[in-house]
This record gives sequence, C-alpha cells and structure tokens, in this order.
Amino acid sequence: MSRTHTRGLPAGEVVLGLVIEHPDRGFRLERRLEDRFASARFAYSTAYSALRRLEKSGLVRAATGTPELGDSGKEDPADTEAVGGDVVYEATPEGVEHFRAWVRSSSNAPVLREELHARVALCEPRDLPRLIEVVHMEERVCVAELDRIRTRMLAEQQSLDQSPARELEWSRLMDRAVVHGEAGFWGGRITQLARLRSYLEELRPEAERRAREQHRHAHRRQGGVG
Amino acid sequence: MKRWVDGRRKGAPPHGGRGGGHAGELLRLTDVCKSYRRGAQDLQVLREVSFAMDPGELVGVIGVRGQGKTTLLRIAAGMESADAGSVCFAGRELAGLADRELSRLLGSEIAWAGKTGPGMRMRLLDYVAMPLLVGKPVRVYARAREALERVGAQGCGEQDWESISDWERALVEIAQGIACAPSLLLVDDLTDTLGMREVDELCALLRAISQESGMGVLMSVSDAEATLWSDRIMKLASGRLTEGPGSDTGKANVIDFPDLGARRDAQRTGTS
Repeated sequence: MSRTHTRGLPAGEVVLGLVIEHPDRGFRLERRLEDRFASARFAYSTAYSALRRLEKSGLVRAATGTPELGDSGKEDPADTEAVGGDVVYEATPEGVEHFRAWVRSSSNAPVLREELHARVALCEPRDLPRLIEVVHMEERVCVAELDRIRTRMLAEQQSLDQSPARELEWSRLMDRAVVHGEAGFWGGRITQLARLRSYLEELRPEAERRAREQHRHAHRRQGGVG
Repeated sequence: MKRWVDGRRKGAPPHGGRGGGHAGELLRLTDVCKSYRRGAQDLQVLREVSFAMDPGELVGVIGVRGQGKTTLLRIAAGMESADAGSVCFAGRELAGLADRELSRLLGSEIAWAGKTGPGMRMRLLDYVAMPLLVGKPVRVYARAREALERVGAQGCGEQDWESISDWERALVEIAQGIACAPSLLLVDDLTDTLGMREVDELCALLRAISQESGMGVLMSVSDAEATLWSDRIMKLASGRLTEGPGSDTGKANVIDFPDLGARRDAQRTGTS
C-alpha cells in the first residue's frame, strides 16, 4: 500500500487515514492531503491515484446511502470532472484494520520523521497509548544508533592510541568531524522524540476521556439499531 | 606519586556485596523514585530508575534539560535521598547511613564536578583543595596541585574563577573532583559551555583518568557528542531511563522502564 512515497511518507496509508477520519470526495481528499501534509510535498493528484489503489485492494469503497459531509456545499466543478470526483469514499472494515495496524506498527530501524508525524496526526484517541510506546521505541532505536557510533569511535581511538604518530592525519580528523555530526544528529533526534513523547503523555487523560465517549456513542448507535 | 592512582585500590568495595549488588560493583540504583512538591503539584522527576556501574567505567547520561539528570546524580552522590528504591554505593546502602557518614563520604569516596565555581573570590588552588578539608586534612595543597597538574591546569592555581576561560573552568572543576582520589566522580553537565573539540578533549581526559585510577565516572550531558567517549550511554527522558544496547559490561540489569499506565493500556486494547 506504499507505492507513492514522497520523502518516505506512504500516500496510501495517509489518504486511507484521511478517509477514516472523515469520508469524502476525491478532490476534497486531495485538498485535505495538501493542507494537512504540506511538508511532505505530495505530487498533484496523489490522492486520486492512492484512492484508486486503495479501492482496488478493497480498503476503501464508494459510500452507500447519504454520506455525512462535514462542511459540504462548495464543490469545484472542475474537480468533479476528475476521476472519482463525485464519489464519496469511505473505509471498509479491512481498511480500518489496515490503517490501525500501520499506526500501531513499530520497527527496529529508524522511522522517517514524516511518517511518524503522519501517524500522530491521524491517530485515534484509543491508539494514543500505543503511539506513545511507538515513540518510546523509536527513541531506543536512536540510542542504539548513537551507541553504534560510539563503539566505532572508541575502536578507532584505541587504534590511534597505539600508533606512534603525534598528529592525526587530515582524513582521520575529518572522519572524526563526521562522527560528531552523526552523534549530533541522533542526539537531536532523541531530544525531539523525547519532547514529542512528553507532549503525547500530557494528552493521555484527554485521549482516555475521548476514547470512552466514542465507545459509549458506538454502543448507543448499536443499541438503537438492534 | 599521584594520589588518584590509589583510586584503583579504593575502587574495590570495602564491604563487598553487603546491602545488595554483587561484589566489585561500584554503584547500583534500584527502582529509584523521586518527586518534588511544586505548589499543589507533585512533580515526579525519577520513576523506577535502575542501573549499575563498575569501577573504572565511564557512563554518560543524556537527556533533555529539566528531565532529572542532575537529580539522578545528586541521589547517586547521597546529596539527596530517594523517595523510594535503593542506592547502593560500594556495597553500602546510602539510606542506612547517618548524615555525618554521608557528608564524609562526599569529598572522600564520592566527588562532584559541576560548573558552579567557588561563588566567591578565591585562589583556585584553595578551591580545588576545599573538599580535602573534610575529615583529616593531609597534604592538602600538595594533593590539590597534583590534581591540577593531572588535568593540565597547573597554571590556574594562583588565578581566580573570573579570570579563566570556560575550558579552564571545566578542568578546574575536574581537578577539584579528583583531588580526593574518589572511587566515584559525578560530572554534572560540564561540557555544554565548551567547543566541540574541547568536549572531545575533556571526555578523553575523563576516560584516561578513570582507566588509570579505576574511578567510576557518571556524567550527565546535554549533547550526544559528549557520550562518544563513554563505555555506556544511558538516556533519561520524563524520569525514565533507557540504556542503549551493546553494554560492554554485559550487565543484565533492567534496560528500560516503560510507563506502567502505557503497559496496562496495551494489555487492555490488545495488539492488532
């Protein structure tokens, strides 16, 4: 589901997340993608092609019945001509599941900033605790990177300690500058993640409250049907 | 003879193994918690922090400002007590010691290097010698001079704090720290006023001293670059400690401390 990558951000999952957040027409999804993820600089009509792929994989479908459009009305006639312009897309249960798995996933390799931020941006209240965990794991991945650099640096230093040369070769000196740059990069990343996690931690009670409310709403709706 | 070389002898725990922790271990913190009262709020600075270090080890703690690094060091030094958990230094439980014993420990077996300076106008040789006045003052100036020489700051002894550079200040602080030949030196954020190459030099110096004397160094830093010379990196964020993998000592102490609430939530929602 991640063929259209822009600087590491998979368009498929992001568009799917937008659809789950709120079912919408293609051109409006295109706009929401631009508005919400401007820093990812998706190419024009990314949402359309993503929707086509999502539909083919059975993760989204054309909505049946009267869709609840938030601030509907102003439709761009030029856009309605485009592919899927007047179809309102909604997520299938498989789509919801796929998206949730993506938000909750973690890996042993460092995640790109854009991807992590997209997961935060589209995360539901009930998934916040898991996302905090994911950020924490990411911090550990970065500490591991820093640790690798440290190990290399110490090994290098030990070999230097044994060599009789008084002055470092120029290339070695530059290598050391790079090592510093790398360590600084991972250090900065760790700091950034720690701050993000602190922010999410502060939202924890709020997320719990909202998740409870959503749960109650869902129950009431089910009760009304049955 | 340089006194801090004696540190190797001192590094061995005088009361091996007593009070938890295995023999030879210099410092062990177990489930240390600490909070401060800020108005009506309880600010939890450390949550269930556990780690151990050996003599001769240089351990770097990184973390965002205000997330408990200094508190961690102060508790390890016995300058502050933990709300819960245990701090075991060279086989002795710090909580079990009387104030008199604690203050004698600081300045003989445990030393502190911050960047506060003397806070008043004085000769830096006197400043470096200050901790040596605790207990029985022996060869006070000679030891202070040796310490200044070891760090390469012998020229600073007759000067005062205001007239020396940031680099020299860092050296003088380390000299004061090692003057009593401690077995544990706590270095609190000494590097953040230094240039990058000075950071390298300072860390290499600490590493050399700890290796030649067996002195353990627990060092808090704000910049990741300063951890490159340490034997281990630990990260402190929101009061929890994360230790990087690849610990050279192979000590299987607790590596990470996930938030208890998060763990509960993960169990409740299950994984998808």
